[in-house]
Amino acid sequence: MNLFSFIGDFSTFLVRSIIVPWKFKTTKWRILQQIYSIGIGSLPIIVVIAVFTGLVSTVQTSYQIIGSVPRYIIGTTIGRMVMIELGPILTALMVSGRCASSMAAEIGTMRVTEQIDALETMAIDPYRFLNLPRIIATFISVPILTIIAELVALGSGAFYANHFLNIPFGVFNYGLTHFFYARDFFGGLIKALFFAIVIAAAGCYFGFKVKGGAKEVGRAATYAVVTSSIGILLFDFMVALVIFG
Amino acid sequence: MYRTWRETLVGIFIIAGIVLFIVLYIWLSGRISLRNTYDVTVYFRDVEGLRVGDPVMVLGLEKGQVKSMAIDSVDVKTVLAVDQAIRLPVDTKISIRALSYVGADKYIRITPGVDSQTTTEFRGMSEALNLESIGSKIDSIVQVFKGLDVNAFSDVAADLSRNISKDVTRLVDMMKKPTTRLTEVIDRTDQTIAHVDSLTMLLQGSGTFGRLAKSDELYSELQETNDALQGLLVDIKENPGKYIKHLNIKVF
Repeated sequence: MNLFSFIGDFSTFLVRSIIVPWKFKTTKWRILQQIYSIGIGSLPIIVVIAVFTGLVSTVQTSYQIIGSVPRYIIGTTIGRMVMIELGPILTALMVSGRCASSMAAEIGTMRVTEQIDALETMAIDPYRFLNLPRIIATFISVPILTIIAELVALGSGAFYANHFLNIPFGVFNYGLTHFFYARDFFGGLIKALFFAIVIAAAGCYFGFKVKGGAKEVGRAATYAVVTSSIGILLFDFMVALVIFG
Repeated sequence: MYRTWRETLVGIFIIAGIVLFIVLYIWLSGRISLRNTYDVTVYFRDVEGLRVGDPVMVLGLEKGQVKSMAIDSVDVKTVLAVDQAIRLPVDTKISIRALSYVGADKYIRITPGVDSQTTTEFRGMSEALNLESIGSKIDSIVQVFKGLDVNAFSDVAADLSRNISKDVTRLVDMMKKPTTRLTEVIDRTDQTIAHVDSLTMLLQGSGTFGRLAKSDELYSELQETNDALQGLLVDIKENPGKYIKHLNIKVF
């Protein structure tokens, strides 16, 4: 399969997974289960990642610019870095590593054990039954996780600035809020929405397309993570170009 | 039970996400403020890039921020959220200042007056350093200089130099004459001083004059002699016969 046929197949798969009769009454529980698995399940690792993101970005920023600019610029720089780039990207990459692989493995196993064929036999649309809840759940969870990550990263950054750089919270907050642009905030969240679709679609696609046995399932999980990671960076650039370019 | 618990958790997760979204947005946009403030309206001719959220400094301390700005006929109506504890007398001065010479950051500077009456409406002025306006002024000065004839300037400078040179020469000549006369006076003064010195040495020395001048004994003797002579003269005047009876003067 060359690149063009892969992109065509992937896009068709995504559209096919979304444009189905949603049957919300029956799908609701499956969506909630997936939100629990993707959103709440990823929360601890996202918080840990966000704490260190805030700390490291404060250390690096202060190392590079302190002494040559007013101290409140530390708050401005960290705020914009976290909102525009670090928050959405790191959250998406973590969710990709944790969930895209799991989706591919789960659906792939169902494929090789012919459970998906069984669903079709019972007149249950596997796209609606397996893919739609995962896509919707990821679409809801990733922006929420991004917001939490941003909040935690800014909090840890402010903490470090206050305790180790002698930058009072008020000064940090002044830099953070004074140069705040709503575009930065919403731009980061729009990125998160695109990343969510890429993560869920890649996980489901590679799981759905498995042919063979356990080895192929493992390979599908790897492909899902690699493809979603590349897709995240690609969409990061594209969205940045449209919103901030 | 298990299902209900999971549903509840997911519900909490989603609601927390929405609440955090709102909190984060309100925090970052600077709308969260724990200060107890009141509104002060200031009318500016030009706010020169002032922004909502810029700090309000009262006597150098941050005591509020710019709340809103809107064009009101020919002025910009600016509403400031100022700390409740700060009361502004009617003669308070409010101005827009620049935080730095190179940056575009502005702040509102409030210098409270001394009047007993307070108000919440003021007319402000801009004292911010505007590099653009300074640049345009320099440009206009440069244009004025460009229009001037440089050759005319050099002619004027040459004339001025010649005149100054002449005046300086005359001044030097004038000063030379008094100097010659002054030298003569100094010579004479030197001679006089030399004479006075020799006289002083004569008086102070061991010669006759010196000894006469310095002898106290001689002085007292002279004094006594003088007194005796005066007494004698008085006595001669009163009793001339006493001295003349024994005197035989014969003419023929």
